[in-house]
Amino acid sequence: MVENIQIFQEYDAILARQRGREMAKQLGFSLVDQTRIAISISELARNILIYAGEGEVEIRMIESSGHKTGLEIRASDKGPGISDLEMALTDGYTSSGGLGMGLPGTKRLMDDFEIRSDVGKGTSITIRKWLSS
Amino acid sequence: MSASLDELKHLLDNQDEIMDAWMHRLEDEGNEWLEHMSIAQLRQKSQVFLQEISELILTGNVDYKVEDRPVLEAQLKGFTTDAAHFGMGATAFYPYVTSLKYILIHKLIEQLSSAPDQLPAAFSDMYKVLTRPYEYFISSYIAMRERIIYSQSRAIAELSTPVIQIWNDVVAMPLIGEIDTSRAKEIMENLLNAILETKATYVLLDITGVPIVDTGVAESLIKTVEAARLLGAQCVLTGIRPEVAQTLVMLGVDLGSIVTKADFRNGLAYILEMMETSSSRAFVSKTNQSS
Ligand SMILES: Nc1ncnc2c1ncn2[C@@H]1O[C@H](COP(=O)(O)OP(=O)(O)O)[C@@H](O)[C@H]1O
Ligand SMILES: [Mg+2]
Repeated sequence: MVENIQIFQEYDAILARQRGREMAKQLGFSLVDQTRIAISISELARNILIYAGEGEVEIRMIESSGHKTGLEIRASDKGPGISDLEMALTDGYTSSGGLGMGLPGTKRLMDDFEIRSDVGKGTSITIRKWLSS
Repeated sequence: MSASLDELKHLLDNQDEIMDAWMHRLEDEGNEWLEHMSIAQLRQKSQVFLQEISELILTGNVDYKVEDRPVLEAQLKGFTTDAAHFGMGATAFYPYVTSLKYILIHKLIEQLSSAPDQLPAAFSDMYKVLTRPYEYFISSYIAMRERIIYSQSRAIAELSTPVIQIWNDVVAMPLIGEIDTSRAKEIMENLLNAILETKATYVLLDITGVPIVDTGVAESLIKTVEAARLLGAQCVLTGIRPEVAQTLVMLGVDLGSIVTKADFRNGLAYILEMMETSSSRAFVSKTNQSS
């Protein structure tokens, strides 16, 4: 189960989070976890639109070596990148007059959060949520 | 399929013959495309398709991706747009491809009569090659329909950010559906206009029908509430579902500056209570003054 959604406009961000929620539901995630996943996707996809203009979100079902099932989301763009990751992950930091809670909040909502960013090249963020058995 | 390759090549070199047979068959079957275009037009549209398909079968490239074949992809996008435009269904492509399959099956049987053991492999290759365009058609058709549905629901949403006056001094705004940036702006504008018009001092903002509240939506709610306050109206936010509330807390979004109540009824009860206290306070201060 893999979904790849190109993010060009707000509609795509909405579509991505709806798909994420559907997939989470299919995998048996609780309502709260479905909501966490949908909101995290929404945060990453909206960031792509605001800061990079366009990019993509890939949502896939994954399995760990310990046979745990989860959902992995990769949001990537070829935008300006982030020069200071620590700052970007600080509660309340924003360069666009937003709430500045998207990245740090997503990190709290998910089990895994990995971010790679090269200035001038782009940003790729991978997040995971595991199904607790 | 190497042994049969020459035979296949021969078969597919004869594209005009296949095309003739295919078009003939589509006519006989009364294919839906022909309700919207002439056979000559359909033939022209099918030319590229047949060429691409033949090339894929010949090169044995059965595991290709439509996305890696720009010519084929463009062609299929054209079919999708046409189908949506003509109001044809998601399955419109199926009889069209099936018809070609039928022609190819017969040609293959004819062609490989000397080497029938090659047939299963040749069939399977042909099926595989023809399946991808069909899958692509369906998914891009659905994506297109989703886009249409979305823009329609956006249009409805524009009509449906209603502000209802439910009491003297009290207006309510029940929000339903996804909130994006442009909708957030409309909500704010509609509400502020209504406050000015009705001189309302209380606003019930109900988000029971809003599926997702991310930091963007939360921010626009906070801004709306603050703007209303500047106009002298107090907002009460109702209908935050428990899982949304829980997620917002974890996100670190602070709605602490906004009065929230579980549902619309509780919100209204709260407002009526506030109105009563403030009017009795006004009454008390009046009696104090007069004494
Ligand atoms: N995809 C991205 N490309 C470039 N910069 C980004 C990207 N995502 C986030 N940022 C930077 O990180 C900051 C924090 O992001 P976030 O926590 O979502 O808060 P907000 O979007 O409200 O500013 C942003 O203000 C922006 O400077
Ligand atoms: Mg953000």
